[in-house]
Amino acid sequence: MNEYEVSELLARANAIDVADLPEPRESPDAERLLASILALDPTEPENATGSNRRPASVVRALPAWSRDPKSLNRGVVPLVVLLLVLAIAAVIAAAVSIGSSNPRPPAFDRPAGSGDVIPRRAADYLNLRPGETRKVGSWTDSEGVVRDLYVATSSGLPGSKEPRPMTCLLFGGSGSTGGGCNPASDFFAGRSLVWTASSDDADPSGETHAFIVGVATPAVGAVRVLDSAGKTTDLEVNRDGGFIYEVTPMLRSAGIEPVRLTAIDPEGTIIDRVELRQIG
Amino acid sequence: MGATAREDHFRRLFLGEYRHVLAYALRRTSNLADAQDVVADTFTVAWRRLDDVPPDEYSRPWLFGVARRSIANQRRSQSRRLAMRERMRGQEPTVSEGEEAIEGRQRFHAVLAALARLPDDEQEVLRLASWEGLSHREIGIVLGCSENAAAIRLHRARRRLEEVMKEDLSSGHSVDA
Repeated sequence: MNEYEVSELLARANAIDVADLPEPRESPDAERLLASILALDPTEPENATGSNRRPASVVRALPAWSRDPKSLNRGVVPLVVLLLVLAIAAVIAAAVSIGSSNPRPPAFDRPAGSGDVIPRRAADYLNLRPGETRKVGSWTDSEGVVRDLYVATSSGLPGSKEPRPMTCLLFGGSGSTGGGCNPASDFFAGRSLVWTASSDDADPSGETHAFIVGVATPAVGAVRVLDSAGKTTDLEVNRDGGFIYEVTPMLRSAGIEPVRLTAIDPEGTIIDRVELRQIG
Repeated sequence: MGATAREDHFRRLFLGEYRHVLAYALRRTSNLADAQDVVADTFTVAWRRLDDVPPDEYSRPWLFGVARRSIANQRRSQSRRLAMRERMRGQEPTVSEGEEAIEGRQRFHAVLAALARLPDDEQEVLRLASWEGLSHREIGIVLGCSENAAAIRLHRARRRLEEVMKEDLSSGHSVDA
């Protein structure tokens, strides 16, 4: 067998024929992708990886602080974000929405139970509406710390010049609680999930846990996380739409962070995706 | 270029090349989700750099070049050989077949196994020629080298593939499929 016969054999070993693939006009995935890309602002600067993959429609839906989580430390947008430091750690949070049309968290579709009550101190501070808080998840992290995620509706955030109802993601554990809020009238902002990035960077012990937590619409079956090392992890979405991803101190010290969230429906179809910025 | 003209240009590019970029990605990734991610990355870069996309028949290799870098980023922690094995597993027949088909499949396994033993750059130039059907000039666009350099690389890679195939046949190297 000479080199040309080998090349011919290689050509025939090709397992994918373009003709077998669906035309983009016949593929919902392709149509969705095209619409997402056309919504991007082509003049937005590239990110560190050389490409900007976040649809502009998502960016426009977000408050300014979500594009620069560090702005939280500077208190640039106190109307939208709150940072409650209840102990030694600080939680830096940014809420971002991607993908669908559900206006409110699915947990609000069930009756409130005793486990859904948020500590009085936080509830009073945030002007939370009684009966409009739900615990959407409780997880134990790699250090054995229980981390709780709540959704709650506030009548108006403290310090707001024009108070309006806001629905917040509140993530707590290890003595601290923090979160981010979106307008209650459109919590998902027409997208499929809302997420919050949280880190313990103010912890004087030097531990730098970080988490991606969020709430997905009922259309989402799983949330796939891609990290900067190329590894993907599929997260379970619980009955209230809650999900969590932990970035351990070891990963963070190695410079490995989540870089993308992909929302996937129960049939395995990609619904939406978002590129994550540096989380802490 | 105005916003509408830009959108029209991109829409034509997307509709014309979507299947080819998806096929390129599917041939190099182990699952549909990864391939779809590569397609999304590739066309997003194309949208941002639409002025840099070469016209006509050279847009496809330009897109392949972007897809190639996207796959490299995606696969930094994965074994390319493992992906090849997965693809070969995917070709396992699910119904009984004749001796001729079995022999053909074994030959495909053999050439794919030999391909997987080559350096990544040589694998890619062979795939670009054999699977994507690109010319030397088009391969040069994907790999960022001259037409002559692409021709030389392809020639060397073909010889290397032939040598590895012969080594495998003479040593009875088994195909791990």
